[in-house]
Amino acid sequence: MAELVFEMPSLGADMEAGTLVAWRVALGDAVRRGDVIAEVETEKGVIDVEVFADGVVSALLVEPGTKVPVGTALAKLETGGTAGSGAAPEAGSGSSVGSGSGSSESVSESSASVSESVSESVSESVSESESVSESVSESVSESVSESVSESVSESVSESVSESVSESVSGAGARAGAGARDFVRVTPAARALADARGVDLRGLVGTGREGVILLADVERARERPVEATPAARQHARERGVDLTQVRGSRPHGVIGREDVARVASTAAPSPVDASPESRMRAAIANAMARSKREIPHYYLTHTVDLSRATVFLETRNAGKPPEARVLLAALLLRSTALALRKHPELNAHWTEGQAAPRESIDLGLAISLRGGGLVAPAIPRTDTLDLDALMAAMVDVVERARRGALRASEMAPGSLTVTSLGERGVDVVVPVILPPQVAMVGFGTPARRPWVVGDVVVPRPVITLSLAADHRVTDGHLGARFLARIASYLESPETS
Amino acid sequence: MATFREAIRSAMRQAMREDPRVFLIGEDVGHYGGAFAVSRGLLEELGPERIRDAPLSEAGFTGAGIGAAIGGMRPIVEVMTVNFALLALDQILNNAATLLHMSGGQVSVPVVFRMTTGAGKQIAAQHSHSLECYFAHIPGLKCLAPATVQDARDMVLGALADPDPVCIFEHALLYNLEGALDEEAAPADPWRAAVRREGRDLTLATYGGSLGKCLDAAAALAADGVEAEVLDLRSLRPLDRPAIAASVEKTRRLVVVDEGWRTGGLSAEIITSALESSFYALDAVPRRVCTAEVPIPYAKHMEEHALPKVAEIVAAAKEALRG
Repeated sequence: MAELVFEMPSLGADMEAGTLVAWRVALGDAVRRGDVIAEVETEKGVIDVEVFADGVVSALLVEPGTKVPVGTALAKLETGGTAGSGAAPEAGSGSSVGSGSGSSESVSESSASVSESVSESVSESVSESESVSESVSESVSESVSESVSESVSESVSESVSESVSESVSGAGARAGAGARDFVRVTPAARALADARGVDLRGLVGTGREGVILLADVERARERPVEATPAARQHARERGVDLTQVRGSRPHGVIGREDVARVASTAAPSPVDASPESRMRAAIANAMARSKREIPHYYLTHTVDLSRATVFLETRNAGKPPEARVLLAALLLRSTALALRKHPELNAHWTEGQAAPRESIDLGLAISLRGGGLVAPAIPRTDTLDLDALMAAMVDVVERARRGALRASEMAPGSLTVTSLGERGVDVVVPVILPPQVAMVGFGTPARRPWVVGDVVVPRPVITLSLAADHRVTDGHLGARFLARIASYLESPETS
Repeated sequence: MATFREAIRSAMRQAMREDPRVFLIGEDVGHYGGAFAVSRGLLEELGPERIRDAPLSEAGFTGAGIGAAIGGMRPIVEVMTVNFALLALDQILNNAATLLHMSGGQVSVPVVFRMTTGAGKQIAAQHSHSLECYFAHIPGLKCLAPATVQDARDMVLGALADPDPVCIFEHALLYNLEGALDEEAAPADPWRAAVRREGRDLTLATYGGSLGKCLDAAAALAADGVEAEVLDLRSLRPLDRPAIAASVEKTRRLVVVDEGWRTGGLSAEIITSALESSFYALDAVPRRVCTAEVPIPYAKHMEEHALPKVAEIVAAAKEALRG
């Protein structure tokens, strides 16, 4: 275990001092060579300062806002080695600065000279009679080894005690860091949990002092989530993943209070907050989890809407406004039909694997007037004809904005469709709503130059986008799925 | 059936009959028959040129053996116990282990050092320590620890066949061990560890005099439904690291039993090797059962108390099952 002092760097030949603006690390953080650990203000502005070794921050010596000369110790890092479980010997080998190395040299010198004198006295004793010489040589080696250990312990005692105190303070810093987010788990159990996507914080270890063993992770994999109905509803409302909640009820069943505890730690939203801020917290949870866990891949595809436009105009001609079908319904229906052909995208990622879904229930991202977003599912979307689908959409949007959605509709659907058509953007790059494994976005339909044969003509076009979970599908399948939606839009009468 | 002692004697006899370069030198190996009676009868059988009594100077006769090896012979140097081999450590380290390197590969030192190790005979601290790790620390030296009667023979022959200096550590309590001995067999490769008992729940890694304790512990554990694998390391340098990794990756738990002291000992090296190769396979903290960190006591009950015991091995194994 070596310690490294991180000094105010010279960030230019003429720099004499710098102001520490901010620490980017905290005590106990593990840092890697190249990480930015501080911001330093110089004549030239604020500069990110990188660390040049791997280690753990064991001390921050300068407060932000302080101006110090180049070369001033700013922080200490512990590099290499493991946590100091003990003792002087380890510490003695650690510190390699100043007086430490000097004294260790003198130790090796003195022991070398002693061992020479031993071999001398031994060779002298050879000539003596057998029985005597053995005992003599043994007693010589004994007394010599004693004096060696004495002189050694004397000369190193200073450097040892120095480095001991250092290692002790270092260990304290590590312990502080460890208490923050440290699960006692065996390497094998951790590896399996990683492979299966099991959250170790949700497990109860059966090993000594609660250590999570391999068998605990295996059991977690086998046991389905057991939660009370209230807990399930609360989890939905708050965007909490039940697989990551540890149940406190008998037999590990998750209660509402368990969900509330996780939700309150996951996002800073007091229980008595307004509905808006609660919804914001739920969105924050779901989206943060999505970006944290889901390896998204993205595809976009621009489609000519001429035929779809004509199709809808023909269909709507002479009908009262409430009986007309809007493009949104056609987009949704095309998506539902395409999903039939690519059931791999109709799945939920739970407990480390994709679970296929039976029915196609597209979620519809609806932005609320007061801010926020809900994504209710339209049950069996693919079985609804355009009129029925249009009616369902109108109904669900209206109730969503009124806050009258049914709980069943709030269960996560197959995949969610988002359209920012009204907002005029060209392309939506969606963020998948967990536990779904894909999301489809529609940009604003717009007239654009379009090449038909050898001629550029104005055409209404729309850009479709797909965000999909790379754990479940690959881009090849995603591309076929988007092409399928496009083909339905290009031949709307067949859908 | 033969004893461990007879197996070593048999191997030395065979080697000396087959190869005129082989001879035995050491304290009292001739007329007295060896401090542990390993060479008893060989002087009469093979003559004083092959069985050479040496003056009581470990540095002297060890150096003589090294010189003979450099000169083309294949000497077996018997040192009474590893405790006294410290007096010859200068010869073993600074000459035997280094000359090949320092001569740019021109001078090899094909010498075999046999020495007794271990406690349990109430011969007190100066005769009872297990200092194998001192020698296993040295590059240029190879170290073997036979734990079975067959290995007692095979390792002598394997060591003599090796072009480098080899130390053989014979546990004092094994000399009377009886077991099957095939004197005709081609010697087993001494540098590979051997699984002496298969198991799936944990690995008991050991060598030499502690193998029997581990097998007893494994039997006791089996009565409780725990299947311990017993890995006999056989070679202490080079360690058969792939064998350690393979066993640990199979059982996910490791308990090392080593009669040496714990601090800076072989058990530390074995566990580190397992961590380096197989960290992510482990489902428990590796544990070790070693000798208490005291000079081995003379009094019988204290000596027993200081040494690794079957009950301790069983307890460590059960602890390992809990992570």
